[in-house]
Amino acid sequence: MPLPNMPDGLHTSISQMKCFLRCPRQYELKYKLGIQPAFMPVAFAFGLAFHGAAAALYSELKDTGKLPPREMLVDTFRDAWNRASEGPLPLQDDEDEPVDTGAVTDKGISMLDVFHAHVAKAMNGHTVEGVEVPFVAALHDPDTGEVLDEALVGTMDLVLRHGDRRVVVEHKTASRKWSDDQLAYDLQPTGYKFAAQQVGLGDVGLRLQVVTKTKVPVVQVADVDRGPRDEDDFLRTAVGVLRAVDAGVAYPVRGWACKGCQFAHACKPKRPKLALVA
Amino acid sequence: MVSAGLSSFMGAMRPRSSTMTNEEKRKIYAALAAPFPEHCIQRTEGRITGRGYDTSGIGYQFIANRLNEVLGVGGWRAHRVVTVKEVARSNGRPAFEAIADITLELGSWVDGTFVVFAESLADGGHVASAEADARKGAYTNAFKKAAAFFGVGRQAYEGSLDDDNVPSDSPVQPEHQPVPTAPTRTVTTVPVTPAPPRNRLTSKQLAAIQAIGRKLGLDHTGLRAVAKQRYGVVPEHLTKSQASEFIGSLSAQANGNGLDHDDQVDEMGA
Repeated sequence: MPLPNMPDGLHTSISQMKCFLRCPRQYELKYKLGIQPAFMPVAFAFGLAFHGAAAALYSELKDTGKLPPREMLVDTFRDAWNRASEGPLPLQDDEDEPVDTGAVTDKGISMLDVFHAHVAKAMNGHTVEGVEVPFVAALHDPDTGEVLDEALVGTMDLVLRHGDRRVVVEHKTASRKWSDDQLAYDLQPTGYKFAAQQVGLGDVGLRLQVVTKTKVPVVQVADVDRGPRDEDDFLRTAVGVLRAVDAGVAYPVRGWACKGCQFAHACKPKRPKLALVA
Repeated sequence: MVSAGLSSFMGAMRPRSSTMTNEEKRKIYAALAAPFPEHCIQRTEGRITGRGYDTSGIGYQFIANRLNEVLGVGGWRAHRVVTVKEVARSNGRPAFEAIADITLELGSWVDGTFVVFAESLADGGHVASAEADARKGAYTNAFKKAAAFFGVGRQAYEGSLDDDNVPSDSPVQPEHQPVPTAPTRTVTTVPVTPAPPRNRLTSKQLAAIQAIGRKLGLDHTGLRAVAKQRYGVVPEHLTKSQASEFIGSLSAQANGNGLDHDDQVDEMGA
């Protein structure tokens, strides 16, 4: 599968879109002002390490056609997690509690055990066509057809072939199973479907594999549908976000997420200084 | 009909001009294939079309508008061959059945010659009591199909809309269906507010900034630091005018550092 080069020019991503929708102020601090984050959220580092292990598993499957041993996944995960733990940014969880890296490693390993067993059963009839497949797709205004200067860039976790159809698979680690609404409205599968057509993958199926961090981890496999209306919504969201950023929209969304925000240190509300009146 | 359409399409995207790059073609396709907003979709009740179910499709003029907007006036043309024959409807009434074969060409006029870079072939049919209506219906039907091969209104052929929602002028009543007393046609129209012009720098400006930055020995982090120091934002989020000023200032700095004048990167795309 030919891999497109990442463009030098302007681009956006589904992560950027989601960031803006979550909190325009966070978007401004992170992407526009280029503020350095104060810490690395544990969930983010954990997700990266898990993704690395999943990618290693599927790469081995692609190269050899055989499922690698569980130990290989665990080693990959440990390495990635250690790198994150020892990186320049301190780890921090949502509650600002000290991070028990050992407990996190154990949790990751128990999740990988379940995931490994799941893949062993679920690969029947599927072949791995691509792992960590980057894409670049042109975005356009759905009303005028105008092609935007910003290209949509991203990486598909996994592209499987099942019969004559390709399936794009996205992996998630989550505290619990995704709700029906999350599955129905998440932007990421829509973006993948949209991009897949442009990079020549055709009309792909979409699958989410959510591995839960519950006491007994489970793998939630959900095949989701996205149609022309979803694609239209996606484009409107992308265009809307870019226009809003352009127009300087950067209001803060104060709430529970602020406590775990990497950019909270730079997000002090500007308040006018009040003069004392005698 | 679907298989005939597909086979036409497979052989139809024949680029004849070597001057257009794949990137340009990709952009044109993306613009042509952009979904139509709700107000362009015409919904017609089944009792009007005679099909017994409601249909929806994209109006002919919206398809033509899209071609004009993306390719410019004169950026496309259609050749057609229409054959008409008299037929009898199931109720015994005479009618005209028209079949249109059309070739839709995309290209441009050069010295009085239309230079084609892509073409699609399609056919369409329509039955009407008047020959003119039959010809017109068959042509628009074929035209919409040919345009869909370039992505224009492709929703109609992907199953989300109907490819032909033109009402028949004498629908055949399905058995056991109540006879309509007052047929109405519903068209949903949603006004679209034009978007304000954008202010963000262009990709070309960004490329120029990055190129000059490299000449000055600035890596990605260094260039970001300079932009943040001067304008408070990373280079990707400069405004057009800030980018223009930044390019000028970096260029001057590059030349002042002993670079050959010919190496100066001109401001682009402002």
